[in-house]
Amino acid sequence: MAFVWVLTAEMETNLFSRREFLKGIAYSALAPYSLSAAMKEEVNKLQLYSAATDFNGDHWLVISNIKGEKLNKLRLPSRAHQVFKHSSLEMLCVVARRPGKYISLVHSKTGTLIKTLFPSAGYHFYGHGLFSNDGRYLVTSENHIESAEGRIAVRDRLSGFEIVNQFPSHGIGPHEIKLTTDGQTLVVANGGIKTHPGNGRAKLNLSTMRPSLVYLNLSTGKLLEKKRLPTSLHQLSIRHIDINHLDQVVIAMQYQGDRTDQVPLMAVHSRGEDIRLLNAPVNTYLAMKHYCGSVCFDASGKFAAATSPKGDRLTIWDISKEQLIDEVRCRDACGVAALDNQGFVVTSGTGKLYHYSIKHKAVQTLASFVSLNQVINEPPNLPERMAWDNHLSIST
Amino acid sequence: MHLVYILLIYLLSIGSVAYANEVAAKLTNNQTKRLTADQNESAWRKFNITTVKDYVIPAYKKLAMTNNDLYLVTQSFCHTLISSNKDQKKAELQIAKDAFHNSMDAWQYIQNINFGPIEIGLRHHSIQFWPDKKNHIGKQLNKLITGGDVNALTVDGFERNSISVKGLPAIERLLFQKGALEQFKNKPFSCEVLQGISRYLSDTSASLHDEWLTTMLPQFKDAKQLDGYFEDDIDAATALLKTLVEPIEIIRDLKLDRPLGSQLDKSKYKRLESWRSQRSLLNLQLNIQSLELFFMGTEVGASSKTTGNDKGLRLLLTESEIVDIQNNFKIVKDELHEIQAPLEEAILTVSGYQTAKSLSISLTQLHKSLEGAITHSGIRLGFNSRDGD
Repeated sequence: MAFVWVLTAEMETNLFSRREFLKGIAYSALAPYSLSAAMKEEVNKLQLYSAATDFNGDHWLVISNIKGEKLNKLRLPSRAHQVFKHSSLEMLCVVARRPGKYISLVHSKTGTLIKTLFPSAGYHFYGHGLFSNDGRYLVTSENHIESAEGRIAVRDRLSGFEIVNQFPSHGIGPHEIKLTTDGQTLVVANGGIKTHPGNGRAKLNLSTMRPSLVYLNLSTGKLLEKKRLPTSLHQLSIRHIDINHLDQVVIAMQYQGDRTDQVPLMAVHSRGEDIRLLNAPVNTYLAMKHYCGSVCFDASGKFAAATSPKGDRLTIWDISKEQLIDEVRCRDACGVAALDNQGFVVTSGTGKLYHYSIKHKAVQTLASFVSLNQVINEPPNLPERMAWDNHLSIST
Repeated sequence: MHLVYILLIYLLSIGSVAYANEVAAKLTNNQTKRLTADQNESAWRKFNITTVKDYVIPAYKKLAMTNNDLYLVTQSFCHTLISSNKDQKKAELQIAKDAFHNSMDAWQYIQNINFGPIEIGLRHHSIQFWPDKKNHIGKQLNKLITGGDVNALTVDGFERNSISVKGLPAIERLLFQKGALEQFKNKPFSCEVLQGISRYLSDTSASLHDEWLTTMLPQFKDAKQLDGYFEDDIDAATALLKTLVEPIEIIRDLKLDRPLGSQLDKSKYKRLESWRSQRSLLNLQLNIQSLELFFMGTEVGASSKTTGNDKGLRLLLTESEIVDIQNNFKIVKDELHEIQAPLEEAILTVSGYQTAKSLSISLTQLHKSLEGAITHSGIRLGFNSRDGD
């Protein structure tokens, strides 16, 4: 694995940063700013959905408001990964973390379990899914255990979520999936990492892995396009993606190579082009510690936020210019969701909720801790305190 | 826009061990009756300030002092090369090697601190570029020496050199190479380079000490200040505690398991941290000593250890947790003691290899006990950061 940067190239930036640090401003992460009254009203209506784990190690679906006040909770059989809402129904889909054995369909207002789905024999879920634009089909990324090949399963809500179509993801380890604006093309992040439930979460093919970004016809499963990174970056796992109104895909990756390698972790792709790695100062990618946990566009589709919990970093990118525009220190930050054109809501493994403002280039705490018992005025007891899991969804 | 570009990582600290949740899951109801971290924030503030004052800053001070000595000694050594006889040169070379050892000793004590000023300008890498899988140090050092450019050794010029040639491993290569005196004689500019590196190390470590004293300490005293480094005292405590716990994984994975390989005939002594100066075992011993000091709350440089449980992290843990952690420290230290130095030779023998393997397991146990106790004290070192998907 080749080094991607010449480290000396960064020294001017570093010298500047040193001065910034000595002035005591460079680590500014919690500068105060106020949301407009209209924005506040809008924000207060929001509901947040995320998987979470308490200090006892129990796993939950948590439905919360923006203040971190729990509105509902549901105990889950095991750790979950992505939670997403049906576009028109009060239905949440909670996908188990890989190797996932369940999907919980939950009422988004009451937190009541509607139905539990299980993978077909010989398959497991990969933690992500989506509803088709018309809301009828549930689409999930799955693993065919025997062949270790990725599969996309399509379940019909109108037939009790029976599988009505299933096709290859054209890669190993499909993770996050997205739909293009026409709703007909499925974009699949094939992480490239082979796992087998018999070996838990162990990664079995790190030396040969070849992740890919794949576009499939949602109806037929036909492969429309498949893109890979250069061979030298074959251990950059394409795992988390988002897509904007221009059908640009932002890619947040995790690196499975040697811990001392220095590699980029962010990229963009548009149909018919090569995947373009995003440039950033070497310090930034180093600080992200080979791992992005989640990524999303803001409502404008111009900016994207990526979280790097291993590096305690939230990075903000101007995708139109393919540039990093900000970076803040945010302990164990992972879940991220767009909050209109104002910025992003971010959740952390420390149980906190943050708001990042694109306009102010600053982050502030929305809620310090989220408790299962909804104790507002006093700190929650230890076992009740939540660690927000990888992904966050928001709805009004 | 002001980008926060002062970030560096200790690359070695990209951990992936996933038992944080296991630890949390094993807590009993009785145990969880303890205060949550934020209910005990003032105690954590005290812990933070004491740790920075008694552990971090003195250790950086020692690094600054030893590196200053190293700079003085290398100047003297290079001067001797010009005019002295062979015996004097040999003696000066030994003095320079001793000074290198002192600097490396001091660095091993504070190597675990991977946040704050050390993040700026890739200084962690600059002080020690390791592991160097692609022989960057060798290539860049050779380039610098054969280039013979004095401008590359000025204060500003040196900043622009590759980070791989700025630190202790580059000095180690120069001083501990075969026929060092002959090499210095044949390539006189290499001694200029040696002095340039030493000066950089001296300046850098003096800056680190100063920045911790003047910039970081106030951040711990008032962790909630606006535009501050930390969000609150718990955030500050978490940053410190991670440097107590996570380096144990690094030590195990990079300093032991990587050189050991999967079996005896796969072990590679050149993957050890300081194989050229044959001090890899000493590095491990100093790492563990330093972490134990941190845990015990004993001031760096203090003549004796405090025996009561009224200092450092021990204030915030239960008696049984303290005993368990101390016991695990003892097991690790005993196993380190059992290994016949140098480690570079020991891992090539059956008994040395086995003890090193056993040490690796004991480090895991030490890590678990520390992480478990800290989790129990109300601070989760990481959730998504430990076990992401």
